Amino acid sequence: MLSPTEQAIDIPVDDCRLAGMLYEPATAVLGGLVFCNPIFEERKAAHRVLVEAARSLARAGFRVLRFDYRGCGDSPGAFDAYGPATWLQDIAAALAELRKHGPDTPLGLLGLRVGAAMALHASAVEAGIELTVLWEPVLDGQQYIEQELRRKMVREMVMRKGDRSSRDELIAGLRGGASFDYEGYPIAPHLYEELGSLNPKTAGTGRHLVVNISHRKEPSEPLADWVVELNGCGHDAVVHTVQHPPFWNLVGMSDCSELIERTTNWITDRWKNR
Amino acid sequence: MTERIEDRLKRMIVERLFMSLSPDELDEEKSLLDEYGVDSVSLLELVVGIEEEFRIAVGDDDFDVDNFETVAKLANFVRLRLAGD
Repeated sequence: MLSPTEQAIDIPVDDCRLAGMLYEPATAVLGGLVFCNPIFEERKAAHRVLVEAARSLARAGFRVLRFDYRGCGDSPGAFDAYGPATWLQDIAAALAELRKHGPDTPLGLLGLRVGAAMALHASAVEAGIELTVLWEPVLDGQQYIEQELRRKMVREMVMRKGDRSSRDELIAGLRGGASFDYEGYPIAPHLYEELGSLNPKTAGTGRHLVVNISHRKEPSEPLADWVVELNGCGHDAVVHTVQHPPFWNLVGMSDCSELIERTTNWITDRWKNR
Repeated sequence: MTERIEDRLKRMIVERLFMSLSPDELDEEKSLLDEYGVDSVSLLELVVGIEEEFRIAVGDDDFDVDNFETVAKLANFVRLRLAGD
């Protein structure tokens, strides 16, 4: 049996080229998916799982494009020069690239955390997105960035640092135009503002799979309520739960086979008989 | 009968951190950081868990190892917060 192929590609956007990896099925292509990464250390921690997911989907007959946003991973630019507004343009460029490889192939997006919030936004503004898969989406950008600031403080506490940050000081600094370091990533005022205003309230007309990945057997209340709200606005969204630690925060290998298998099956069911 | 705060904490910690032991096996006096491998990532998960389980807010000033070192210290912290400290 032939195996899918993997090829490094460049994705043109504005005056630069994003680093991408294209997974091409060995069989007839049932659909194409662009992966939308999380950011900060979550991107690195989730890398292996996203690669495994891309391979699983390619084996099932889907063309997959993974890529790095500007200023992230192997793509050019400094992290603090960009933010969600630019990264949404990058997602659009990745979709355009995928269309070049199969103009008539149905398209979808798969995102994790901030990547999921941006995927949902992209599904509303980009034409022809038939489905989105949202792994543990960020539902409230302000809450997300506040939680990241808390993570910084918890880390400093565990390291028993005497000189510790406070959220008020960090935010006051940002409002004064200063950046601060978060796990090696400079947080500039514009990034703080853009992340804070990232709230996935609009969605495309396609189908949406929301996956709650946590210790819970049932979806968390905010996520379940959000899906009800989406469906109340005429969208077609379902929520699944996968009991698994937050692999996007963990160092080392995570066996996410259940998450990948359920995602692959859901997409296959949606697209195999379209 | 009302479940002890210590027992609620132990159950929550084992569940949220996917620990491979039962809540009863978690020693209330042993360091979560040194004995049970709780790191900064797990600790934030635990902070969120405490806020959800006990419906209390953990403020920036509360990020002190003395509050989070052991289950017993956590229980003391939760008791103070529930009492309106």
